[in-house]
Amino acid sequence: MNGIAHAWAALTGTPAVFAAFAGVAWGMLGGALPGISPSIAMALLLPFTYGLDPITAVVLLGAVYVGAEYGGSIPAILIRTPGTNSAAATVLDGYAMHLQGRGGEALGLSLISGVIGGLAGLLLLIVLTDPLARVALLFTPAAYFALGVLGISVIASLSSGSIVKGLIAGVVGLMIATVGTDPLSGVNRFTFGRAELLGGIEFILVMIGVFALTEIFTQSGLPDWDKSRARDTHIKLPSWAMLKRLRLALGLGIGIGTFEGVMPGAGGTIASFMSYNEARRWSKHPEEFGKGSPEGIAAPEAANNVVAGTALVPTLAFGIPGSNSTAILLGALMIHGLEPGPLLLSRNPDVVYGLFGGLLVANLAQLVIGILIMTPAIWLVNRPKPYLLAAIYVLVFSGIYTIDHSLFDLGIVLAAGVLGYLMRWFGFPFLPLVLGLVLGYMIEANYRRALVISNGSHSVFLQDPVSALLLGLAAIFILGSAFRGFRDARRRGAARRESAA
Amino acid sequence: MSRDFYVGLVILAGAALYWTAAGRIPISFLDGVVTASTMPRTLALVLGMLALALMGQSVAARLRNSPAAPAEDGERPTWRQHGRALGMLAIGIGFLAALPVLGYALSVGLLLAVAAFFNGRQRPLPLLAFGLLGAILFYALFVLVLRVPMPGGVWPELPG
Repeated sequence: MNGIAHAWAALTGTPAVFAAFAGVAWGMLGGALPGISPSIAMALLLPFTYGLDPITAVVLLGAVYVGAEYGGSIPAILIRTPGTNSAAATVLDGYAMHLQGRGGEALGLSLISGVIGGLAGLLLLIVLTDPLARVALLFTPAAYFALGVLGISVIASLSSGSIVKGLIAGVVGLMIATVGTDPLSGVNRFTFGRAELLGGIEFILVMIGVFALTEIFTQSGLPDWDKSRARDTHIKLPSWAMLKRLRLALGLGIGIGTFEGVMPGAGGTIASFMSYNEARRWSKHPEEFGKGSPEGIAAPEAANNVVAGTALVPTLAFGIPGSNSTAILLGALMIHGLEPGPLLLSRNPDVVYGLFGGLLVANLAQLVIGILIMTPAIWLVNRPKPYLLAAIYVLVFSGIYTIDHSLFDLGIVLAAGVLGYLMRWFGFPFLPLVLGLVLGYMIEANYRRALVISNGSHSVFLQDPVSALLLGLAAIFILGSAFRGFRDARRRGAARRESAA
Repeated sequence: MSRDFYVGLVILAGAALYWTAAGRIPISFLDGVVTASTMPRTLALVLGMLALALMGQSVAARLRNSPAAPAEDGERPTWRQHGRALGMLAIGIGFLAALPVLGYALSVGLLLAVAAFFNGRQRPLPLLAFGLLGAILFYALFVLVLRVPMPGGVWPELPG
């Protein structure tokens, strides 16, 4: 009951409703642009949240995440180019429907499935966050340290590619977090005499550099995406009979999206493809898949919108973001002086329930904005890519300058962009780096507090039961992933030798 | 040796440098059993070990005649793509150099026009219009609406 009161107070006492609508609109436009993922759309807005109250800021960013998931399906359906990774499965049947002159119907299916999935995800988020946050009382400094280590280990082991590279990215993130004045002893670390580095490197600079600038550098070398000729496409919402037909596909999307969302690192892309496959397996009309099946749109769109809600469960309950987008939301919470994790719900229930209320509005706002935004979204997708890249470049620089009015910060963002480009080139995942950076202070402060309490004895991390459990889980994740990598490499080697023979 | 081996070597060198720099962190009177350099030194050690693991993984894969990791492990952009990325970086650095001298509006106009030109829009009139309109729009948004004190450049000082 208190939660509802908090949510109501947030929606009526702050501009959260306006933020939800604005965020959905921005997210849809950003998601509609190929190459602009939900996380990039969120990162571009992050500097502008500094001046907002915490509730409005997190609602704005959460709404961007919600809107971008639908926005990604617009170019997927109209130009066979998914605007976001998680919309890739929608291409299969969405574009086929568009070729049959049913593009408006496909967009309507995507929108309604997204709204249903989003509401289901929100409900699960509310139900799951509260009980998980009750374990807060069990957490000591040693346990918090172990939680941070577990977070980086899980993300590193679930990232695509080598676990070693994932862990290296996480450690580099922790290293960047050590720059600046040590808050516990007051001595300067790695500042090289630069006053600008005394306060450390703000993670927002690295996030925007790694996500947005890396994409700008990469996109500059890629050909322009196709343009839509469907300027007069209008959304056609599905009938009640159609929704009844989609029950199973929607249910599968919601179920798989729930599971994938709460698993850090899995994300909407895997959920949407798994849902697509399962919907085809269980469909009464499997032969229609790939040729314009409504289930082929409903299942993946419901799944990736459920993930947008359930991915917030580990972020809010444990302070471990499972995706790039939730890492940015986590960053936004920390920018406003909030500490995500087990204590967030008890210390700042207004923000958490305000976010829930805002996400409810955002999901419902999709219905209105989704219909209104079609023409501007198609117009935007049809703009020449060179103009869009140039405008985003200016937006990044201007947004960053807004934060501290510092030219030095612009240099840091450019450096982070170069780092992100090199990481992408050499196959290092971004998320462990960002997570290391965001959790760096929490990990180090609790590591040192725990050692002070134990008089320097590292056995405290194994004597504390929660810490021992979490470190054990971290070890299982790392060893399990290393074993899987070893086994896969052996299989690939054997397959290569066989094909050579 | 594969690409990962050399990447591991560079990271190992980075870990050694970081270790050395961590050793120079002063000890504070407020420090207890754990000092400000404890965490950095631990991180340097862990990074060094991970770099060795990456190099070992690369050597083992070579011996097994198998790629170190699946195909998605790292993209393989062409040198032309690297050139484009480098060009965009140079434009960004140019913007940083120009901003305190030329001021926000002019620098933004130039950045818009140069970045669009570099990415393939080469007709001068549309480029000029894009730069001009973009500069007005961004100036209006950030300076007039959001009231951000963007750099004015040398222009305000010239009359004086």
